Amino acid sequence: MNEHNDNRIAHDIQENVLRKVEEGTVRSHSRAFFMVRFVGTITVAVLAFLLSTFVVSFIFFSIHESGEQFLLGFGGAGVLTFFELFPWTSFIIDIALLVLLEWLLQGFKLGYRVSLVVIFVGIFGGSALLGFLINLTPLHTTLLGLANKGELPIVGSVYESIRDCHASQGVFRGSIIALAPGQITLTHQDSDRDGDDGTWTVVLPPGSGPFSLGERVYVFGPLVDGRIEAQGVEPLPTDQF
Amino acid sequence: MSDVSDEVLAARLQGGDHHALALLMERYTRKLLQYGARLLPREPDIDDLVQDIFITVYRNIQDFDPTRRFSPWIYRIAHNIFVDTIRRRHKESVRFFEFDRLIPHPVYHDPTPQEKEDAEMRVLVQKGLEHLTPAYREIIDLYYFENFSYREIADILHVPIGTVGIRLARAREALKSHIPEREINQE
Repeated sequence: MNEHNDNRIAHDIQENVLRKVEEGTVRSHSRAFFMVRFVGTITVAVLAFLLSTFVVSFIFFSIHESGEQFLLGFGGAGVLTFFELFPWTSFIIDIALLVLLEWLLQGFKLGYRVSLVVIFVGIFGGSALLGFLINLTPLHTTLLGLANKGELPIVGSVYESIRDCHASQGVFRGSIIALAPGQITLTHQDSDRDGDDGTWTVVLPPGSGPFSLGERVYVFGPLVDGRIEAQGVEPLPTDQF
Repeated sequence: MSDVSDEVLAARLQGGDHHALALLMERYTRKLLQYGARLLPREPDIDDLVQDIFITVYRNIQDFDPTRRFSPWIYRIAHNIFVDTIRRRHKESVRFFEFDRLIPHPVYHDPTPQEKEDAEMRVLVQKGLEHLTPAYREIIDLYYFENFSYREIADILHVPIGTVGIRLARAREALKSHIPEREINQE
């Protein structure tokens, strides 16, 4: 481009833009437009964070309520089963919410001046900490109670899934109805929608117990011919099913 | 009016003064045409894109904070329009995910004396810019041609300041790898 050509192109650009502005074919957005957009972005970001926090607290609650945290103490097979039964759907939803939040924050200096990993770890850590604190409140226990009575719409089935039977993975819960040296008899009769009702003889691993009649326990081990070869047995808190 | 700052003109435009828009366009049209030509060397319609930049400036002028510098703001708009164009029209790839934004980097300063580097860089840029990826071309352009600081480039590209440093260092290395040392020293 030579000097004359450059000048002509620059002049044409300026003329075209000014003409569109003067004719009103291009209009300027009002301050209110940007204010609404800003408030909308902040609102969506806050909602995404709160929802993420709720989902994390549900993950903590479901692991505790189902007793699956005991699996981590039952050796390699227990750890594998823990990850198999981990509420991955909730976890993926949480990650998706955090990615949305991180994307929304990129519009702000705070969001883009910090590296992606640092900001992700920051919001994930904040969400996990708040989620853990919410888990200590009676919120989820109350929601589980409503779900059990069929009074919790939309997410009721998610709460009920905490009670799902995992016999095929070697996970059993129930009350002790008989004690014998090296073994116990376990029964579970909650008559709910899942198929975890039954009575089993549990061969105890060395060093477990002592247990008492009526005590509720969490058992991990394969079911072979009606007998559970337990690799781990832990007493459940009395408030757990 | 030549002594009136861009920020004052932008504030006047916010108040509805279209003459301020004309003056801002007078100041930025050639700069943006050159920025576009360096970033999109094979794009025949840079003038249409620059027109889009000014229209976007006008549409969004109420979003500009006159207490801040105007040039990084308008270059941010230009960056978005040029990068969108590369993604839509050109076979040249622009990564949707920038890996150099992933982890924190310390702000990198090249120890080479500035004067020598500027002379060397002029040769490198003249001879090698077209060999670079769009991301490297752009950071070289913003730093060496538009004279923005690291902080301003970070605001234009929406990346951490450490990423500006590391990307600039890698762009320099990429330039040097394309041009043999003897060609630089001959100039």
